[in-house]
Amino acid sequence: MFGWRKSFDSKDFDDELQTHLSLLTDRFIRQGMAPDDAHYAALRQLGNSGLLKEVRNNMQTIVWLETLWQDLRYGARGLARNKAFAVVAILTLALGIGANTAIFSVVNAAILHPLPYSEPSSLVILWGNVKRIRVERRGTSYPDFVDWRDQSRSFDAMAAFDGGSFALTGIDTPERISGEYVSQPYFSLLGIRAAVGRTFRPEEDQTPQRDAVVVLTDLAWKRRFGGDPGIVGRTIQLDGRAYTVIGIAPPGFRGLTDNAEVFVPFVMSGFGEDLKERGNRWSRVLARLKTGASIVQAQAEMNAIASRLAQAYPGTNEARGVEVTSLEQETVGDIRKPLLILLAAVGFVLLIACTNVANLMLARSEVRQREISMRAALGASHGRLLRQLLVESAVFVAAGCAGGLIVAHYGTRVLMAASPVQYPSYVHPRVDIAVGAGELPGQIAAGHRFILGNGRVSRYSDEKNS
Amino acid sequence: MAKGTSEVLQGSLDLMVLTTLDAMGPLHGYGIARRIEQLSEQVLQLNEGTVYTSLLRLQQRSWISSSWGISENNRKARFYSITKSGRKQLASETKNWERISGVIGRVLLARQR
Repeated sequence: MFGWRKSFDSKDFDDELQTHLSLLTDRFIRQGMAPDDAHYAALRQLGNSGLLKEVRNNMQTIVWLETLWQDLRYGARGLARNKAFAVVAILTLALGIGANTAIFSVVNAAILHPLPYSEPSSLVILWGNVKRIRVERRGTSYPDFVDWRDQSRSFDAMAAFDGGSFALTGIDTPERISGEYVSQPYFSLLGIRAAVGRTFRPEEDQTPQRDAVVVLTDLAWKRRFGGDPGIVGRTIQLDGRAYTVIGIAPPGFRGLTDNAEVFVPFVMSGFGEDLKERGNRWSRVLARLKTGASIVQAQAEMNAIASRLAQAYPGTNEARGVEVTSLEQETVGDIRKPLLILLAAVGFVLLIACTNVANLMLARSEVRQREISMRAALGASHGRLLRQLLVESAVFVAAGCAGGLIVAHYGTRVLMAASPVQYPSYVHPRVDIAVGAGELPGQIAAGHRFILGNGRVSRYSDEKNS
Repeated sequence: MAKGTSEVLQGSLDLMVLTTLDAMGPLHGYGIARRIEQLSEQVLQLNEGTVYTSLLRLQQRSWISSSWGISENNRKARFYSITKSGRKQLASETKNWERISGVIGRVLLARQR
C-alpha cells in the first residue's frame, strides 16, 4: 500500500471519468450520432463506473478508517438501543475509573510531587528529645540550638523556628493571628524569596527584642491589608508593638507550620533571659544537609554533640538527645500510608467493576448470538467480527472514561474535604493530563478485560456455526 | 480484484497500458483506450473502464505516475506516464511474455500435428 502516495479524493476520480465520457461522446457525435445517443453509447463503452469507483475505494487504506467509523456508529447505536444495559455498564466503569483517578490525583499531588522548596530532599528537621520510659519528642532551647549550629559539620545551615500567635491591632477588626518566629536563614534554606521587599538580614536576628521587623504572607497582605502595594516600610501592630513590614512572602507559602500569616525574627520570641535559659525548650530546627552527608551521619554527629552537652550541663541536658528526620517525612509521612492503602483498595474496586461489566457483556452476548451468526453467514471474516466487537468495547470504555473523569473531578474535592488527615496547603490535586496519562494503563487494562470477554463471544459463535 | 477475471487478461491489459505509455509518453485514460483500440485493430472490444482499474493497479505499484492537465476538449484530465521502475518491469514482463507465448505457441502447434 505504500506505493499509493498520491491519494486523490473520489471527486478527482469522478472528474477523470467525466472527462473520458465527454471525450467519447464528442467522438461519437463526430462520427454522426445524435447527441443523446452518443451520450448513452459512451456510457456503455465506459462500462460500470460505480463498480470502478468501488474497486478504486477498496485499493485505498482509508477504507479501513471508514469501516472503523461504521463500527463506531454501530456501537453507539447499539448502546442507544439497550439503554438500561448501557447506563449500568457505563456507570459501573465510570465509578471504578473515577474513584481510581481521584485517589491517584491526590496521591500524585501529595506524595509523588516533591515538596515546593528548593532541593527538598536534603532538608531535615531536628527535634530535641528526652529519654523517659520511651523517647519523647520535645522542642529545643535557644542555647542548645546555638550549640548544635556552631558545633555540627553535617549541615550547610540551620534555622530555629516555631509557631506563635499574635494579636494584630491597629486595623479595622483586631484579630489573633498565627505566625512564626524564625531564624534568619529560614527563608534561604527553603529557597523562598520575598515577592515584594526582602526577608531578614543576619543582624536582625542577633539581639533579643531589638529589631521589630515582620515579613507578611501573601494571604495576610491581601486579607488584612487589602493588598496595599505601599505596605512595605510601614508599621503594623503585633502584640501592641509596632513592627516594620520589610517584605511579603510569595503566594502559597505559609511557613512550615502551614498556617502562618506573619514571620518575625526568632530573637523577638523572648527577652534576653528567656533565650539564655537552656531548659526553656519549645522550638524546632530546620537544616540543610551538606552535599553528600546522609541523615544517618548527621544523626551520629548530633548524638555526639548531645552527649557532650549532657556532660557539660547535666542539670538541663541529662537524657536529652536529638532526632534528625527528613522534612518530607515530617510533612507527608502521616498521609502516605493511608493514601497508598486507599489507592490499592480502589484499584481492586476498578478490577471488580471491570469484571462486572465484562459479565454484563457476556450475558448480553447470548442475545447477540443471532446477529453474530447472521454476520458470519453473510461472509464476515473472523477478524472483521472481532474488530466490530472490539470497537464496540472501545465505545464503552471511552464513555466510561469520560464519565470517570467527571466522577474524578468531583471525587477529588470530596476526598480532600472529607479526609480525616490534614493535607499540606500546597496540595491542590487536579485531574489533569499527567494524571490521565498515569491512569491510562489501568484504563487500557479495563478495555482489555472487555476484549477477553468479547473474544469468548466470537469463539462461541464459531463453535455454534461449525 | 473481482473474482472471475482471468489473471492472464488482467496482466496483459496492464502490459498493454505500460507499453502504450512507454511508446507514446504521457497520456490520459481516454488516449490510452484509443491507442489500444487502434493497435488491436478493433479486435479487442474494450470495456474502457477496465483501463482505469489497470491504471490504478499500476499506480499502486509505482510503475506509473500521474499529474493533472487539460484534455483536448478543455476538461480537467489526469495524464499518466511510465516511471523508471515501470520501464524495468516492462522489460522483464516483455521478455516473460515472449517466452510464455512461445511455449504456448509450440504446445498448440504440437496438438495440431
